[in-house]
Amino acid sequence: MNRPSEVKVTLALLARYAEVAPDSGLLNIVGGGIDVFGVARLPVRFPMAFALQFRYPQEESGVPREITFATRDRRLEIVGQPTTFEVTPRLSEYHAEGWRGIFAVTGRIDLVVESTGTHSIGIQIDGMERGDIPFQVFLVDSNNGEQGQNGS
Amino acid sequence: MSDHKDRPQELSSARGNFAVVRIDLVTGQSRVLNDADSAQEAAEATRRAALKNDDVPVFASSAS
Repeated sequence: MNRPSEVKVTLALLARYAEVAPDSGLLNIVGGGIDVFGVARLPVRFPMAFALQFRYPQEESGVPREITFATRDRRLEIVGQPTTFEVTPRLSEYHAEGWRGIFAVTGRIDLVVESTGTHSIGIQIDGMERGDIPFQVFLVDSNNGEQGQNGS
Repeated sequence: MSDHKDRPQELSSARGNFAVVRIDLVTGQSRVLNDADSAQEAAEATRRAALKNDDVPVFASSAS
């Protein structure tokens, strides 16, 4: 029987801007950690930047990983459509014996919300829940930006 | 105090160990952009998407 994967999500967040610098592979994140949105109407869809980073054991280098993102609302119902993509983390030439590799994923994520309250973007790796990005949604008056409806 | 030339050289272990992905949770579509050219394209798309669209929320911040 295969040993369970030791993949561990170490960072997962929404941001105003996030990228992996192509030359260095380093993360550039601006305005990271957004977890509350005020919206003028519902439903609404909007783009955000995101960053995900996970670590994996040396022996799992080169193993393809299926990563699934899915948004749930406060009733734990799926909002929009989940999506899955595949990546294959590989250790670079610079790693010590036993080093746990680090793999980063950034880009654009289009979100849709249909109700106020707590939401969560669940992150599964190979079908197992490994992390999440929680956020809240409030209805606000777009003219003055004040809260119009409680998100609870 | 160490001289500037003694500063360790950065040998990023993350080099080449990343993916740039376009995720659409409205349609359920996602696209991995791995090569350097498309990574640059995705970076540009990220810049364009960075809370400048009319569809973005009235505000977005951290609650804690």
